[in-house]
Amino acid sequence: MGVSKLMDLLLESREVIRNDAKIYLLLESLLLIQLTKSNANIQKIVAFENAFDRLFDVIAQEGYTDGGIVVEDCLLIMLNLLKNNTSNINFFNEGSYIQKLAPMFILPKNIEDIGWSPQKVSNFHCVLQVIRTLVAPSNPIQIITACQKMMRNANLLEAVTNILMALGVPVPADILSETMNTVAEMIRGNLTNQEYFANVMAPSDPPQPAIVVLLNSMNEISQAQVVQTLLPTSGGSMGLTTGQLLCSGLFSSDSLSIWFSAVALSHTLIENPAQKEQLLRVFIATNVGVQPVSLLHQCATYFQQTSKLQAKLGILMLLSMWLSYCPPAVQVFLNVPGAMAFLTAQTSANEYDNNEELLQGLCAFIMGLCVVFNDNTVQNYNKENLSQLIEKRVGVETYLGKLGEISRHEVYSKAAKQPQVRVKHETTSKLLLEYEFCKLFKVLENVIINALGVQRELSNGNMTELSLSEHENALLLQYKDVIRDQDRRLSDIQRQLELMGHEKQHLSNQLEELQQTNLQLQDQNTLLKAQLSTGATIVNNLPTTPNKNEPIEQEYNEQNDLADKLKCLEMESREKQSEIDSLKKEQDDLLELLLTEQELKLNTFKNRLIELGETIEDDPESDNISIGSDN
Amino acid sequence: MSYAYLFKYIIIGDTGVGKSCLLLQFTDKRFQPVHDLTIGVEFGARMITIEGKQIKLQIWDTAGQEAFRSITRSYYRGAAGALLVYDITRRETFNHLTTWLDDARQHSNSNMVIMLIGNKSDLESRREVKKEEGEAFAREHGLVFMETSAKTAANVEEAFINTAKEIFEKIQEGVFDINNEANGIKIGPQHSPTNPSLPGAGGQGGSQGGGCC
Ligand SMILES: Nc1nc2c(ncn2[C@@H]2O[C@H](COP(=O)(O)OP(=O)(O)OP(=O)(O)O)[C@@H](O)[C@H]2O)c(=O)[nH]1
Ligand SMILES: [Mg+2]
Repeated sequence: MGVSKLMDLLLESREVIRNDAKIYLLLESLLLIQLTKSNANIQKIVAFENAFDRLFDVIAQEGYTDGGIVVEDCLLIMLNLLKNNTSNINFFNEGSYIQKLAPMFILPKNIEDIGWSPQKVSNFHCVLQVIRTLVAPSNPIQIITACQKMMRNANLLEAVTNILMALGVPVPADILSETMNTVAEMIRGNLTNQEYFANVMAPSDPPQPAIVVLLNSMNEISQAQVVQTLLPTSGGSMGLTTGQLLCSGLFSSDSLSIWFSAVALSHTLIENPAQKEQLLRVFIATNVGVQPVSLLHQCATYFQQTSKLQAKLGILMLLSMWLSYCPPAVQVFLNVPGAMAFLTAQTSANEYDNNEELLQGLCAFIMGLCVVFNDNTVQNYNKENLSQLIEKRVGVETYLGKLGEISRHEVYSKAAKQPQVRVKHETTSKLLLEYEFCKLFKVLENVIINALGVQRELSNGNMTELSLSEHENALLLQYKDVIRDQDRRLSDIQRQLELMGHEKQHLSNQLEELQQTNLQLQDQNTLLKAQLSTGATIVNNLPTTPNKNEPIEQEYNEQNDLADKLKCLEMESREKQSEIDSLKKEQDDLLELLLTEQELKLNTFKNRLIELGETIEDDPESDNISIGSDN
Repeated sequence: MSYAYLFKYIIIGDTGVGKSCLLLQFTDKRFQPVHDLTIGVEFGARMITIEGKQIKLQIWDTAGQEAFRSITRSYYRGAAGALLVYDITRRETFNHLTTWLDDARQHSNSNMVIMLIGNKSDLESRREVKKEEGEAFAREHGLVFMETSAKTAANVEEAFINTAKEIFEKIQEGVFDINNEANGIKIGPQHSPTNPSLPGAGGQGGSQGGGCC
């Protein structure tokens, strides 16, 4: 509640005190500045209480950036309300306050006559800070994108860019560089805004070379575009391009320009191996009549000649970015006369002036890169030779010590934490290392140390290519061929595998389809069967069926009758059979009786004959008779 | 981008009733299944249309936890609308409504439109508060009532839009003093008779000012 009351005060008192005592307003704003500094909840409440409206009202009444310290105070409160407060930034954007920033950038027509008062410079700085806070890289990406879009639509991007392009109008250097940083963040990672900017930028005369800081904000496409502008073209001069601008900055006489140009150019190479190789194709003519040399060659020569520390560091950072992960670049570099000797001398030096330990560290770093990303195409400086160089000439201890200087340096720890280049006029000479370089160094420092260790072990074990006999070397080459061959075959096979994988996928898809169809057919089949069986029942139940069955029934009945008859007949036949049997028996009995009677008669007659004296031949058939007669 | 009116809302109610989810569903059309406890206050915004007029809603989602109550109170005064939310599956959140209402009435301007919302209507099986009870409470205290689900989005649009309609009606009836921004209402740039802070935003591209070639 206290905060709300305070806001009331600010709101109401404004009218009253405007004319009499601005001092109250000042006091209040001082209080608010303190209050809003650190507490996110207070910041939100103040914003809810229409603080932005109040602040913009006051700013407008005071004459925007031409106003007095009140304007600065208002802007400082605004800055406090927004800093690290996503909710308020969102509110600021949604509340259409970004539109209200644009008028701040209108320079009075007579600015040349009246000049920039210190207050105006301060106010201007504050507005730029407000904008940078809205699109700070540390904010959530959707917030940044939304604000960037609004800045373009509300013509704020245009207004700020106009300050950069304000040819002929004097703009203090520190305002200019801060404006560049601001524009860079307004277009960072945002294609549409970059497109807008790309179209605007066409100053007739290369203005301040530091303009290349803007490249900080560019993405891969823009990286390619910049390098593209440097590549040889068939057409004649195409006017000034971004790339040429960068090159002219790179080899200008101003340390700071060189540093910025080198950093900007190195940004076009971040994680972009293709661009690193493309850039190798860039040649520049240093003097009329002299054979053009490659850009990389020129860089490698330049850092040997210049005495300016800042410039040297800039170029060395560019070289680090360029050589890392790019053996062709290393090859070109190793062929630059004196480059290695210079690095060796720097790395093995045991004394240095102010900040020169950084220089020596960077030299050591580049030597290391030359070992790690060496494809052994430069005879004198192959992996083995270079590591020997480090071991024997520099000494491993010294080397590691120099390499370690970089991360030990306070400039490094500062730069490593700051993706944004923050420059004030008086501190530009303190720009030595840069964020992306620090990132690269962090990743590769250990890689270098490991690579050196491996090489040392190799040589201790007498396993290096140099120590091999010619025969062994030939053998080794043979093996390498074999391996290369196998490698190729492996990749062939992998491709085939992939192909087959696709085919398999295709087939299994088909299979699945077929199975599906099959299932459907089965279903249909079942259905049909079901239909069929219901159909059959229906047919059975139709009234025509009894007629059909009649003959069968008749037959059936007839059959039954026949079977019955058959049974009767069988019975009858059985009876007759037994009758026949008994008759047969009677017959037999009768026959026997007759036979016996006949025999008796026969015997009687025999006996009579014998009595009558008749001889009777023994008939074999009448044995008993004969026996009887013998006795 | 430009609007006829701007309304400020707050969302209040016990912790866990689904205030942040309702806002998220309204602004982003998403549902967040885990309870991401709100610390202090979070801001969200969306444009709606009522009777052909563009209306910008600025919504402050407050923390339901007791510990943040004093912060929450700072937001009542400047709001034109409030969504008072309870959870139909937890009776105690319904029981606390009177406390919330007293608090709101005490600290807000008297015209603030309050919409009572019974949230989580998708959890019918776990319902502890009948719809009729919500309706009765609303009738008794002169509130508008709706049951919503931040999960299925049922009635979420309606809740925010109906509140705006209510405010819009009050404006047309002349109840609200629209020139007092402390009421949580602003008139859009093109509607206000005088707007001192618009030299750059009005005309498209017409504001280059000095300096350019
Ligand atoms: N089933 C269901 N769950 C919901 C619904 N709305 C919210 N929730 C869940 O309820 C829990 C709390 O939701 P929040 O929106 O974070 O609650 P809050 O009211 O903002 O809580 P505070 O921030 O502590 O005040 C989360 O787990 C949500 O997923 C809903 O309509 N249906
Ligand atoms: Mg919440």
